[in-house]
Amino acid sequence: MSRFLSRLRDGRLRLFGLVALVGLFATACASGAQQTTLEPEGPAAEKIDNLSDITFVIAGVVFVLVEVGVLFVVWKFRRREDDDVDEVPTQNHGNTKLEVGWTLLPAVILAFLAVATVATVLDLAGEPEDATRIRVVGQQWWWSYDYDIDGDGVHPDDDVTTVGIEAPEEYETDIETANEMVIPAGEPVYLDIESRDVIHSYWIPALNGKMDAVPGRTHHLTLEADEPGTYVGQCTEFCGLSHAYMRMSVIALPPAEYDQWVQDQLAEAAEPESELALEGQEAFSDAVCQLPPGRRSQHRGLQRRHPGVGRGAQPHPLRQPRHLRRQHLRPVGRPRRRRQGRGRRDRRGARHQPARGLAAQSAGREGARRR
Amino acid sequence: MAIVEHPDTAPDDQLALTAGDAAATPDDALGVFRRPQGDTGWKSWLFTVDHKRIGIMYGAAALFFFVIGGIEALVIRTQLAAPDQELISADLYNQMFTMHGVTMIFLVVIPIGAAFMNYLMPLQIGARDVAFPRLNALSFWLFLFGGLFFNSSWILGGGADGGWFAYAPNTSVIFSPTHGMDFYAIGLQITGIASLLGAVNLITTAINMRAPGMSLMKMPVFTWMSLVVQFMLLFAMPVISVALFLLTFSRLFGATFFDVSAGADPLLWEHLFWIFGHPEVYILILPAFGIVSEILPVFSRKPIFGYEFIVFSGVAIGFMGWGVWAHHMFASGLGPISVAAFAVSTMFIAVPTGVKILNWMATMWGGKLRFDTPMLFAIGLVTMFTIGGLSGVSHAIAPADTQQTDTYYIVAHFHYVLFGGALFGFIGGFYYWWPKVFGHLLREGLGKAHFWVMLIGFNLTFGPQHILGLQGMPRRTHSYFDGYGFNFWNMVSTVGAFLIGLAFLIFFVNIYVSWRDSKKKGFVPPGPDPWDARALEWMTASPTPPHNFDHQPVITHRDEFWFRKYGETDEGRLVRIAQSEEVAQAGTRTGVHLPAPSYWPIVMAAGFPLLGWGLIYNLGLAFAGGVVILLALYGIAMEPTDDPDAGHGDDHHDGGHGPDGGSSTEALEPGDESTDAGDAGGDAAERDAETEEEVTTVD
Repeated sequence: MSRFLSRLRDGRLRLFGLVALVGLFATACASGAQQTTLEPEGPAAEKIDNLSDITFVIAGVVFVLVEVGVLFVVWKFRRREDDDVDEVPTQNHGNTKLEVGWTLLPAVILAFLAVATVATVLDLAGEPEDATRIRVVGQQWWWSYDYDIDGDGVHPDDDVTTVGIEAPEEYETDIETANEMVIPAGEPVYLDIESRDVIHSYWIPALNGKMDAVPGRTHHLTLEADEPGTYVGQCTEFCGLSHAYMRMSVIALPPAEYDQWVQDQLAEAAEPESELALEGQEAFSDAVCQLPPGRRSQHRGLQRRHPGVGRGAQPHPLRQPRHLRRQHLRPVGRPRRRRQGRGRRDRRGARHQPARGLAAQSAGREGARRR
Repeated sequence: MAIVEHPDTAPDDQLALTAGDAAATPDDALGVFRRPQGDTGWKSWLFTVDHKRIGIMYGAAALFFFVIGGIEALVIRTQLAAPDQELISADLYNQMFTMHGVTMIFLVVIPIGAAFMNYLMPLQIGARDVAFPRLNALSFWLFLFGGLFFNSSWILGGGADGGWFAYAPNTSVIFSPTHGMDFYAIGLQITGIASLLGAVNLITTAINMRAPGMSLMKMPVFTWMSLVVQFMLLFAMPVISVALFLLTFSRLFGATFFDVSAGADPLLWEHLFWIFGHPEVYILILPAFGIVSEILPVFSRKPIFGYEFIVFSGVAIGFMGWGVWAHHMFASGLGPISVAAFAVSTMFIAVPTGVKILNWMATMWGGKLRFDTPMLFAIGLVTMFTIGGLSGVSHAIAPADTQQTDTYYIVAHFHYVLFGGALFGFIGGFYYWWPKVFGHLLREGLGKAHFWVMLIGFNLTFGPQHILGLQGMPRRTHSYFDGYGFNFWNMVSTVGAFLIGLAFLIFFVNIYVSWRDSKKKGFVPPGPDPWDARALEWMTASPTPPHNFDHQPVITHRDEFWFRKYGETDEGRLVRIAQSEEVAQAGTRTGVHLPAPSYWPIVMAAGFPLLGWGLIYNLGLAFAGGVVILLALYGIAMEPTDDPDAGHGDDHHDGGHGPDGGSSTEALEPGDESTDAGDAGGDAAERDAETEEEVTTVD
């Protein structure tokens, strides 16, 4: 069955290649498509893909029938050289039976698809039992992840909404990371998706469809990776200047490694010891460390490259209603010790890091993280 | 103020007053100018209320905006030709795709539809003009000034940058601090008024002003589809108007309709936008369906197959189009029940669309197909729209849509619908009705070149975008990374886009050389009926005389014109019984009273951009704009209903009928029609004459 389906996938690409009149290249150029929707790696994406396969097959058949039909009609009933100019074709005004027939036929096909669709919608909507619960917060132009490890319902990111409040003790038992989400492979995680500014959309194509992050609302999505690995995605709701660079990935670890990762994250950060590491820590918190890793790495790098970046976050010089200011310009909390590294840094950002102290920064961060 | 007269309301005196009481329109009209005069020169175009001139201006303005939107598209495709390109900044790119989308939808496809409807609907139903000619002029000028106002943002600090869908809160001042979105909100508000007025006008026209004998089920399919579209506009435009007012107030006056911290829910905008936005899709495509339903029968030499099914499927789309909007929001967290409901409703809207495709195929079946350029474009629509329709069904599969939405798969889909569908139909319509409008054909060779280059370019551009979307390339991104498998197909897509550009260059060259040909000595006009057509608009001279028909035709058949040309012999064989020139009216009648031109529509429309700029920059200017609008309103209300001295050599307005004489019906002058009907067409012409009842429009 799965081989059949994978063959279908190839056929699907070929079909669209035909549409483009250059079908030859279609399969050749599909390689290296690491963000493809056609190679599911988790149960939710597989259910979607199965439904898509059925749809594409039906659509493909209808496509071929209609297009071949039109070409056939055009060929067969073309006016010929030897036609009698005065001869008028039969003036056929319609055929009710035929027309009722081709009204009902697509309705029946679509009814079949509708049943399958509704079943899948309801199937995918459920909350899995015993799932790791992670809060995903989208913001221009990165994602933060809060793991409520101790299950007390308090997220480490909650403090950023309040000015000048020290992080309460209960946060000490939770994890906050950015852009890369570490999950256990083979187990479902249940996401609470929120947004801090505009609408974003969380999408890891290999694991599930996308879900919008809408400010003021909490949406849910279940992700599960069959195998350990890294699965990439990017924000798919237009969210401003760096929308194209708002990427994320999911790192699925074998369950044992995941547990170890959690323990590492909860451990105290090590103090830097070597001189280089100390210098790095200073550079880290001095220049750019008002922001947590993910925020800074993308923001700063992009701001250098695109002077306009971050514009949206700055108050409009002339018109600046107070409530809007409050909404966006919330202070973002002091740098916290237990943070995962910034993960795969945006390579544009990396390229434009100041040359000074890059190694030192890096060393400082290593020290701060104490793995 | 439309006066639709029937003989029973004024049986005795056909020149009787019918418009209100004369006191409302005194001769000197309380200081308001008299109506402008003359029908030549540029002023006559500015002040015209003639539906044909307005239709031509709609088409020309839409093509102008099409060039702007097309350049924006080419900039977009150039930026995306290769990965990591930085030809334009992200900021400029965001403006480009926003302006491209808004321009193409609101300033190109809607107005081209309006151009065809304005020009053709009165002709197809045998009317003198639309029901409210001055309102018609106001619609056009509002559209043009709204479009210019919107595009003026380019030179006033940058275009709109929030996407045509303008999801809140990304469009709030804080996330979009330039004035671009203000221009978006106010510009679309202005063009929205234009659409709304047009809807009222054309609905009234189609319902009230059909020639005697033309029952609804004898109306040409294009007029039917136009009627459906206008009803959809009538109900859809208020929704977007409300949404745009909320946006305007939020941005300019600090209202908090979409501000989460004030308790708002951004989904409100999404719902409002798509409740308008999805009917809008059918508003864009149905006129093209109507055009194809006119072209295919003519070039197949057969009537449309299953007229009732075609018409009712159009009406069904018009109704069902209101129940599917949330399929744009399957990833917006609506909850499974809503998602399931909208998935099912979306699937079933494919049924009436499929019916149309099959009926068009059946129309061609058994015919004698001629492949002139209009026919090529019509067949192009049938084949290309099918692809867009099928990818549309795949969006109805809600779980699959959560993978597809906001990727290039969607971009491919709606371009197959709006370009492969609407635009192919419109271009076919241009080639088909060009001789009707301008009295000369477009060149056939260039037309065929246009078609093939456009077909290939179109498929190269948008076909690969299906693949890109399925490979996970999101839309509205100004750049993409190497190594995701996006490179090759993006390059193909860009090459295709420039081929489309080439195709339209050929089109514009064709327009120019065909016009030049028509000015040469020895040019033979194609006559009233170059395609052996079927519908009523061809039953008068080409180009259409200002008064449309010398006398109003009386309708006994669907495809009335065809039935006057063809009949059955005694053995039941179909033969031509009359030449087109014998049947078609000569269009030479003089002295037909027509609605007088007016200064005020263009003046009133000019007040709206002032109001818009004023709201953005300086309330004083807004006040000035408001004053202009109010003065124009006064002018429209108080100007003389007619100018007795106005052209056309009309001598009906002798004393005793008061200044409002122009609103009266025309008495047919005996002998008027005696010269323009040959033997064979004579019966019908006499029938027209006997039951002559002029339907006159007054504004």
